[in-house]
Amino acid sequence: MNWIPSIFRRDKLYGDLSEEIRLHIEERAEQLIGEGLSREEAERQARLAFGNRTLLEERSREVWQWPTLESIWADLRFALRQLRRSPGFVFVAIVTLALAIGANAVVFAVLNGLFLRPLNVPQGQSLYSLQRGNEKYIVQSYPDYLDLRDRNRSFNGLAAYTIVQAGMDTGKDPSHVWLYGVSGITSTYWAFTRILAGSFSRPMSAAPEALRISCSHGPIGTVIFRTIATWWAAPSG
Amino acid sequence: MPVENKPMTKTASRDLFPGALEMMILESLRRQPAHGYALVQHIQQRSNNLLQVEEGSLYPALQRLLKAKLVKAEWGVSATNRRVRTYQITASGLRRLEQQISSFERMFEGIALVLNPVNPLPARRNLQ
Repeated sequence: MNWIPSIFRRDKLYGDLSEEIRLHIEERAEQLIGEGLSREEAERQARLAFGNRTLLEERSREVWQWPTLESIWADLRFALRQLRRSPGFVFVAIVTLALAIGANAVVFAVLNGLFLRPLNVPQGQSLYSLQRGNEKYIVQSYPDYLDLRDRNRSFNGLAAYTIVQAGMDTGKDPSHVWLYGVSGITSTYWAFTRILAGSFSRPMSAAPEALRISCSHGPIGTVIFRTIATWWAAPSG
Repeated sequence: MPVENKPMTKTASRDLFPGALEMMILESLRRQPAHGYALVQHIQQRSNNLLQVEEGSLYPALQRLLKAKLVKAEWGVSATNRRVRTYQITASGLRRLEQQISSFERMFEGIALVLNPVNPLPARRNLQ
């Protein structure tokens, strides 16, 4: 653990070193003056004989350092000093980076949401949406759905859903809510409920539980009641 | 000591094999404690100025020796009444010096054999 005290001794070590080198050059210069050189010339030659003082002082300090770590730190400090010196460049660089990173983040978020993130259901890749209708209005009748379901040979199962309106009263104020009505409790149905739960704008506190309610649409009556209730009850506390 | 006008380039110190400068410093200090400037003078004079050690290159070497506790340093006043940092060899410095000298002698012998193959040592000839 030799290095711990040496960190604290550094300043003294470096100070001693600089002082020592200064005195060395001074002594050499004075000797040269004694030999008849002018002070200016003597000092020049003394510096020349010593070599690259900055470099040699740095090499001497390196002996006491953890070379890699400290040279990285020194490079960092140098970089920061350079940055401080040219704020205009820094501003342009930061704005450029920020725009580039922001744009990339947006593109990634869209891609991730649309294509990359798998659906939170088993074998999400084999989940299909069947639609029929025209460009403006995609809807099919419940009997059509029953025909499709009964004659289905391509899929493990089929489920239909629709958006229904209802009045909901949890004991406080009754209010108007929008519900997803989903047909039949099947594995396909559970896949649906999970996808639908994910599409709510508020986070759901629990997995949806199905409850049969009667509504004017007749047989399409299984509703993700719990989910809706959680979502709906949250604002009023 | 004569002063050369040509700049002493790094070549001088680079041409020394690794550890040579440290060995010469230790040997000089074994004779007597000295400060950096006196060490340079001593090495250059003892080598008949054949070794033009770049003066500054002494200091990294001295720091290495200090760190390895082969020498110790103290601020004091020189005979010429100058403030100087005097270096002194330690007991482990002496041991290291002996090891270095003996390994240097082996290396020198090897180099001499390569450079002068016409007149190898008799013992070596028998081996061939």
